[in-house]
Amino acid sequence: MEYLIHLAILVGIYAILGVSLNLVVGFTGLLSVTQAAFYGLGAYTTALLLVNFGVNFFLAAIIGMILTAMISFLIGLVLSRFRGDYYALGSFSFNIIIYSVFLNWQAVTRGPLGIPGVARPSLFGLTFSSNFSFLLLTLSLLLLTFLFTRWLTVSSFGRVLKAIREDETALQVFGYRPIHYKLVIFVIGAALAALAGALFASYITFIDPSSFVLFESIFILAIIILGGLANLKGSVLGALFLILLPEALRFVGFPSDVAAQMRQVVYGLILVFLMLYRPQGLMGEYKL
Amino acid sequence: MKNLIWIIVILVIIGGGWWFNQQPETSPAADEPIKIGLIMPLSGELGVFGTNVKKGVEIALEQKNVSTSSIRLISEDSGAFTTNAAFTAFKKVVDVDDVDVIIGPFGPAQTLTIAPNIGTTSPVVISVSNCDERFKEYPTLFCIYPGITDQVLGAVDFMTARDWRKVYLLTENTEFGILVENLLKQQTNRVNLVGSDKVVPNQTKDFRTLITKAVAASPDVVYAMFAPNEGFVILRQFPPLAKGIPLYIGTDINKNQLLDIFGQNAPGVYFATRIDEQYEEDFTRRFKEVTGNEPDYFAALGHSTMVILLDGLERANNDIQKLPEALTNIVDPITAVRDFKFTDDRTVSVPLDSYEFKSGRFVRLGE
Amino acid sequence: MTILPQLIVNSIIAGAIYTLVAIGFNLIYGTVKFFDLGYGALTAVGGYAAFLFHKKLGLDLALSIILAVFLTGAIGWLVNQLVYKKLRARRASNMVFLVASLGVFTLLQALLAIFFSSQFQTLSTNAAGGRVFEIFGPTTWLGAGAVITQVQLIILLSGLAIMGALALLLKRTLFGKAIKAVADDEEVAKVVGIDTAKIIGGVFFIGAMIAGLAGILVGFDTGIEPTMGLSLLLKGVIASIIGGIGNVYGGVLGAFLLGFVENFGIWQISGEWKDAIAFGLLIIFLLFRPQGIIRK
Repeated sequence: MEYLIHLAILVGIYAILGVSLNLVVGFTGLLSVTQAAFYGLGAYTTALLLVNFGVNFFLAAIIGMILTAMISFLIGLVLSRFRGDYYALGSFSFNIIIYSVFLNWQAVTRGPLGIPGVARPSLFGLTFSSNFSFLLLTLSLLLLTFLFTRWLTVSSFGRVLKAIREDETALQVFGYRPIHYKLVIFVIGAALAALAGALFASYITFIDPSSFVLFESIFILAIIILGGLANLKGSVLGALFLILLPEALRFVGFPSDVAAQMRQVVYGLILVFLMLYRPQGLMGEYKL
Repeated sequence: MKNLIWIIVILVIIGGGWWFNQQPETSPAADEPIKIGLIMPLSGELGVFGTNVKKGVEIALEQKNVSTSSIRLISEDSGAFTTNAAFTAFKKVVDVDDVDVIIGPFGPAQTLTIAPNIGTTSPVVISVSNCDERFKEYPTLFCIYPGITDQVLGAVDFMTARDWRKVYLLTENTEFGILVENLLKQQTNRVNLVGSDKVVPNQTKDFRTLITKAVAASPDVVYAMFAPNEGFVILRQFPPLAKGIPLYIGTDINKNQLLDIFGQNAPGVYFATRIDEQYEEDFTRRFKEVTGNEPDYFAALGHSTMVILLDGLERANNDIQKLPEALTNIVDPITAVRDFKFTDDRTVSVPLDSYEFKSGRFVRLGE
Repeated sequence: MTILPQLIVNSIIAGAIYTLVAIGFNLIYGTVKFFDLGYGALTAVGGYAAFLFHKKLGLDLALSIILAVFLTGAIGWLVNQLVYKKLRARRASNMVFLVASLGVFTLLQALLAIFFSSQFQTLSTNAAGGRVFEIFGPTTWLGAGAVITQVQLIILLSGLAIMGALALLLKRTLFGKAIKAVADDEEVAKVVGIDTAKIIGGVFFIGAMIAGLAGILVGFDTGIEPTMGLSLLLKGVIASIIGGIGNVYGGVLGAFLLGFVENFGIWQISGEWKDAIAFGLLIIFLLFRPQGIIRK
């Protein structure tokens, strides 16, 4: 059961990440490939606060979200000058730069030595030390995130976002200032990713920069495309699929020499076939 | 369509969970095979090293005529650099396969990630990693890569014996490299670290300017400590830029690669590495038969680890509780790596020598 | 100060390598307007093809290289036929292309790792025995020599030669003009009667050939591994953008600029920040001169 609980926790964390990115990419149409940086910022802030100052997890997570929000605000400002492909490029430049900071600013992050001994969350004297209880915590936070984003997207705010995705210029004609909305959603997305980071740090109790490389951002993007852009349930589904698929393939009995590579092959093929034959993803409402 | 997908997903999850729970979760009885989980990188940049460890392990099992009814080997991919994959692999072999011993994971970061989850008695974990101070708190955790302290101090011995006092360090921006740098800095009464520079693994491999900078600082020697792929590149890019300054490099490389890079002779290059021209003969021969290549240090490590493990299991009568103690009491095994054994604090002690490469062979140097 | 000549040479070598990647990438992006991540894997394909022909099958060196280059071109063309063409027919958005090309990249890389293992290989034998040239010799006023190896010189010359050849192709030949027409506006080109599918196929073929050559030359200079493609590609992308996307000379210029900034950055700061410096440069250009140095 432990193995399954572990997978479920991972799915939960990546589902939160997927939902957070979907707000930016799916609903607003901004091709952001830097979510792993915010994930990392949340993880590191939480880890440092927990290890060095013994701050309560929930407080640390909130501080992490605020800090990430501030940094993402600045990044979002810079990115707002770009469109389309250049937005993507600019965003993953930031991912690489922030990763370099995690890796090289050793005075703070201890670089590749990583931060061990991150404690599990505790609330009113009860600690979430069993993995099952941590799973419940993760699922609760996922639910909260889901409800919050759902509320956001069906509100008038959400309608403006969709309008930005469809036709930004038309929106401006009506007197809206898209840049404000884009910034706000970018920051919200970043803060939610930071929440996922806090969960991750506390679950795995040891973090190092390698978990926040560019590839993670691409992975999260693949999750939401697979699940279906602008569909929150789809993001959860996408996370389920992309995390569980490699695990299921473990049991398929590829010769162990090439098993790992075969998983990559399958992964690549899935991406290609998905784009060829069902780009709107599993739940798709937004046809890419 | 949408609802159909949801129904399928939920059914699959329920079905999968039910199937998993049906798997027997018995602890090993006397007639059940001992299960060994091998968690190594089998794909990605480090994939070839993990695969070689696996091959070394398999050859050892074959040589000792171990049948699958007494020992079962389960291999999982730990991925190269991220800790998630190693952690998941660990969970899988512990929970689903119920292994008694784990060989792996690879490197301190992956090991530290799983360490808090090792029980106090089982499984016994033999990590393919440099021994780290923090491993000591886990009584069933062993490490089989010579400690960084040993390596650096040995290197300093070598350098001072040649009167090379001014040292420039080139290494990687990983746990390994940082510890090397810190250790060197502490040796102020023996060598003078005139400068150091690091590379980030996994990037475009262009170290020319780093080498240029190092050489321009006019050290007596450039000391390089790298993982195998980067080490290869340094050996490739250093010679034209050397300007007569010797290179003393600690990395894992095999003879074929050196022949490709240097031909028969590598002048001005000294190897602070655990190359043994002569790994144990039977092992070397079998490895060549199976893969067509010369074995490297990782394959030899895999072999040696398995030999010791088998010996330890025998001594402990297959009682995993007694295994850690048995492992530290092995005497004179025939392992691929010369004189490989565990010390009392569950690290490994391996003689460290220095070599030159002449006439197509490694020539061991006196101190 | 005596480090300067070698630093310059190092920058030029780095720039030359990036040039090869940038030229091909630029050609493809200029024509079809999407970021082909699969392009990165093609450099590795080229390198391994040469490895296969030369080292495993023992074919003559020149023959191996030519075969490898054409094979890579064919594979690039094939990927376009099987995947991108269909997506284009559907007018898929850029995101779809990006993700599809990511799938192609992952797939090709994994296949290479299965067939060749992930071990670092070098294409040359007795590489250190290759000729080394000293330039800016000790007699000049800068006071210290700089060295460049034969392979590195070949990389530099190839980069410049391909740049020239491609520029000629685009300007002087009918094929080249057709490419430009498609790049400007695919719809109009179709109306005018150009077989856009064939032209685009040709572009992918040529671009892939250049990528293959890049991988081969890097293989001789340093070595090959299946994962070499991504970082090369990213640098090629940076070079193309800062130099001026869609413009052959732009890619070259950007590549050398990137080479210089990176290497001087390493000199002044340290090796660890190399990637951050490269991408920081990209951001600065995106902010202040997004069309690149040379406008189209």
